[in-house]
Amino acid sequence: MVKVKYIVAALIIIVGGIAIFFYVFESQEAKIKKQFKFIAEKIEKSPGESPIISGRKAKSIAKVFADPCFINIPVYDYSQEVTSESLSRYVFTMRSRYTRISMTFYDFSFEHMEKETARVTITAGIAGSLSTGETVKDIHEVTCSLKKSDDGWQFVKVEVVEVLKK
Amino acid sequence: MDGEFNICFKPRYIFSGPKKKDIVAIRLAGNRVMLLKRVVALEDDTLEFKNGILYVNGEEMAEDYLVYPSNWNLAPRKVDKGKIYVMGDNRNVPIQVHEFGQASKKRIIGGPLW
Repeated sequence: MVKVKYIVAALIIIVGGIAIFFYVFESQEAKIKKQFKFIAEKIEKSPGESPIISGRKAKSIAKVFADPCFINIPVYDYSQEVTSESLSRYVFTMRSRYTRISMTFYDFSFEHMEKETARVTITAGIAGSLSTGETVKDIHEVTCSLKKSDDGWQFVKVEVVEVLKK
Repeated sequence: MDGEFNICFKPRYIFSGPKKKDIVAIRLAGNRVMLLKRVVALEDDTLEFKNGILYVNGEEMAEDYLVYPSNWNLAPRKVDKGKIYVMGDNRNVPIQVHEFGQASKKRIIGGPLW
């Protein structure tokens, strides 16, 4: 019986130790993935969201982007540096057009990973319903360059990959 | 992309590149999202649309696979090196909303098995 107690205690210590190890020494890739998760949480909108919450979400999303951040969306002929303020305003306006919206990021491919810079290509999916009732579903490949700052990893460049060029 | 499930034959273009009128699977994003499109022009070809008729290098292309006619017009354009020009067969939609254009050959995953 005493032996079983020791085994259980040892198992708890080992599992706890592993959990603490991963918490303390979280990989940089995991930290970058967390930034994408943060964006997805802030973009997400459910019907009936109050304007105060909308404003807060739009404002807080800017903190994971460098000021300014370069954004390139060839399909919309959009290519320019965007300040944090403009980015928040754009996110607020974009979200206000939707009654429901969700964003997903997957298929992470880390092409470059240094101590303070990173480049990652991901699949970004957006789905939602516009105020007009129209449903939107879109998927793009996006390449992001990030730099590490005191506030964590920040996006310095976001480029939507143009797969089909007319 | 629309959630449809297709089986793709990856080794199809191991020994030869895609030809005109082939249907190819193009990697749109990541490893899972593909587009199925028809090859209408190869690198260095020039294509254009006049009243729904596709011209490649100045010659009308016979497109017997089309079900619906279109009234598309598109100014001439040359396909870059290392690229192919692809389109869908569903052309009874406005040209502005149809997804087509030149894609890198590197993005071709294969062809549909059937």
